[in-house]
Amino acid sequence: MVFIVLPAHNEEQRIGRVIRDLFQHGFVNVIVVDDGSTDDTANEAAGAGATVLSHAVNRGQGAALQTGNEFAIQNEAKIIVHFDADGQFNVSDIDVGIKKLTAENLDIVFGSRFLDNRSKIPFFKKYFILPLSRVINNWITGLKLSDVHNGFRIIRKETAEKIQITQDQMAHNSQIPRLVKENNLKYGELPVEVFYFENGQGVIGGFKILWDLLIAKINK
Amino acid sequence: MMIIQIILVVFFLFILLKVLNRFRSGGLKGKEMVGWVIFWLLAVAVVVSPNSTMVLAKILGVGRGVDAVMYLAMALLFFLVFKIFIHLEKIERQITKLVRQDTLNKTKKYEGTTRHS
Repeated sequence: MVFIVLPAHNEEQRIGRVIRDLFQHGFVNVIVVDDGSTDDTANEAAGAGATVLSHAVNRGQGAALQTGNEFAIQNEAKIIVHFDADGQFNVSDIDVGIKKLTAENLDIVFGSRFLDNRSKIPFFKKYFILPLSRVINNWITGLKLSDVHNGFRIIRKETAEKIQITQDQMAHNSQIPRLVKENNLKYGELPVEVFYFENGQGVIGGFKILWDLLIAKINK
Repeated sequence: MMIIQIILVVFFLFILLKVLNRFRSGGLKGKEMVGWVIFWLLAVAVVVSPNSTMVLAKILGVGRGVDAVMYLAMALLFFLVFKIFIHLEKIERQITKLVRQDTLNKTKKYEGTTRHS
């Protein structure tokens, strides 16, 4: 059973379309983790036919993903897909990724926008922010990924059990590769298409992630 | 006595009162209460007799008593802020745990997605 986990915070505009798209591609277990949205995200998602888990208060994307993972594990998921609720990923990439996971017997597949030319990445992001974050992340995590902060992941249930996301905010994107490395899991990268909207993390977001990782290190 | 000394002494005594009140209402453990009472009484003593810090300054090898108090106060502040950070992080994690537990309890039974379209 494949579970699609969509962490969502105030995505009422786009989430319905993403869910319908997933259904049209034959995915039936669509789980939305509504992370304390103040808009109509939960109703939009339920209306589109998804199962909605609601966080009473906003806890961050990492926290929402962990909730989604635990729910999927409880309900006998075999494969869990992390996917964005705002429609920035292409649903047709999921099937290709699942085939890769099973064919190559991997534990986890990371999406990467750099492995083909489909994604129109903004100039500053492509040549400044992302290369910089790649160097820092490869150093922190010890895993050589071409695209470190990509929310598209396909993981086996056993992998989800090993990877406990404790980074509630965006630093989970660095924590997951680190846990993959620590647990000696087999990973692969999949070319995925990313559509760009206005939002996203800038340089300040990057510093926030480093800060979160530092605090977690001290707190261990 | 200078006005600043009077203001500070009144302020510190006010804090002392707060500490005792918190202890009485159960918000502070006995050990913590004793620690804070000693701390604020020392602060009062230093304000009333600034020269008393010369002893400390001599031990630490710092020129003036006021400087010694300043350095120690800074160090103490940094330490307290650091402790608060760590504590906040712990509380954040506990909140997440609670929220997740609550979420999963609310939606325990999964019967597959009900597709509308």
